[in-house]
Amino acid sequence: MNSTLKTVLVLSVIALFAGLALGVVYFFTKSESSLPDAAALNALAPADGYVQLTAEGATQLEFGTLKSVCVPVDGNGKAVSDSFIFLADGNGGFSGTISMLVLITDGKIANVVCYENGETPGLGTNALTDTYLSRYIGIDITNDVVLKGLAKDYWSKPEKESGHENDAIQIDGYTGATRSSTAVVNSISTIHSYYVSNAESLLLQLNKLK
Amino acid sequence: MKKKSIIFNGIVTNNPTFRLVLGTCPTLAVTTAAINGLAMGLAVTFVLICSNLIVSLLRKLIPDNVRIAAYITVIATFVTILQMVMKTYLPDLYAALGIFLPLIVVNCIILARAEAFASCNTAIDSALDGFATGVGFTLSLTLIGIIREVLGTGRIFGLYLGLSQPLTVFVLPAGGFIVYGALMALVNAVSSKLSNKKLLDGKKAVQ
Repeated sequence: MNSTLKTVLVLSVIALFAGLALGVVYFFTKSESSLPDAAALNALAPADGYVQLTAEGATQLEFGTLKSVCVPVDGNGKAVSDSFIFLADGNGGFSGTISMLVLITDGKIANVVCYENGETPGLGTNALTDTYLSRYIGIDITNDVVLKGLAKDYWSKPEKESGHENDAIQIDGYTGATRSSTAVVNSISTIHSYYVSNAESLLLQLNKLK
Repeated sequence: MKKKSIIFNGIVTNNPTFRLVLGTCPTLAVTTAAINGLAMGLAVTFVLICSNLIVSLLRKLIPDNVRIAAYITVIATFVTILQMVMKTYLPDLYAALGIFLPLIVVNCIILARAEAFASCNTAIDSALDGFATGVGFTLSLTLIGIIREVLGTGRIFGLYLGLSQPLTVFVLPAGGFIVYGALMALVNAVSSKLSNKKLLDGKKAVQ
């Protein structure tokens, strides 16, 4: 009994010190900027650099979470166009949320790429193909009919309860991946809701960079 | 144990790659370029020194029946620290080493040195052994990396050498096996010749 107790004690103490050491190192190495990965940003909107904006207001929204906002800048750190890059997690994926990186220029969606997802390759990822994502390009970000978020149980509820029988006419893309595409819609819908309620603060920050 | 012999053992006599044939998986996988081999070697050296030191300091405290669990915890801690530091300061190398960086936790060289050396030697000797074994591993990996990079891409540490048509097979897994095998054969040939000579010298001395 005594030796068992000693074993447990020694292992616990070692684990405790290990955890402590990891915590200290994490504190010093955690990245200060929450800018998305540079390679992904470059694929979305090639630029010399990116400047992070402060996301004011609520970022935890009904259909997802806004992760970060930044603007593409030239070599002198000046914003050259009325562009924002949003990163948002959309609820409702098959395995966790789906993160979409969206470029918005002059209030319209100019480019969309998937940033992170855990969807099944070849099945869920059908909702992340260029062909499907390119359907979002050109949509006005303030358009709340097209960019409406969907609740998690939206497609599993009876038609009358969720009201999706009325949405049938709005379907203009088919991916074969219901839940994954729901998460994509939700991610972009999150950006839409955030943009609509915080446009002023965002434009103010953008103009300061000009 | 003499300090000199510890260092000689780690680098030459017990060279982890060519004599003990430990840690073959990362050896073959990351040595497509010299810089990757060097980085992997240095990463393992860091973990070896630290884990050997701690394991040796704790050797009287750790109960015998859970020693492997204790060693793995110590090793995993240092590997995770290394990962966090590399991710922040050396993101390119971090990406190049990929999965083989976290897999250092189960690298048999480190566990072997903890079990065979650090658990029954003093802290300073153990740290020295970790350093020597690490240097041996680093040198071997860098050598394989240089050969594969020169033959496979015509470059050395990323610098273009201006050689004619490179042989792409050397950066592929097959080329890794070829270079590894050829080097091992060479090391074996040299060492058997040396030991023969030693035997002969010994006989002569007796006569």
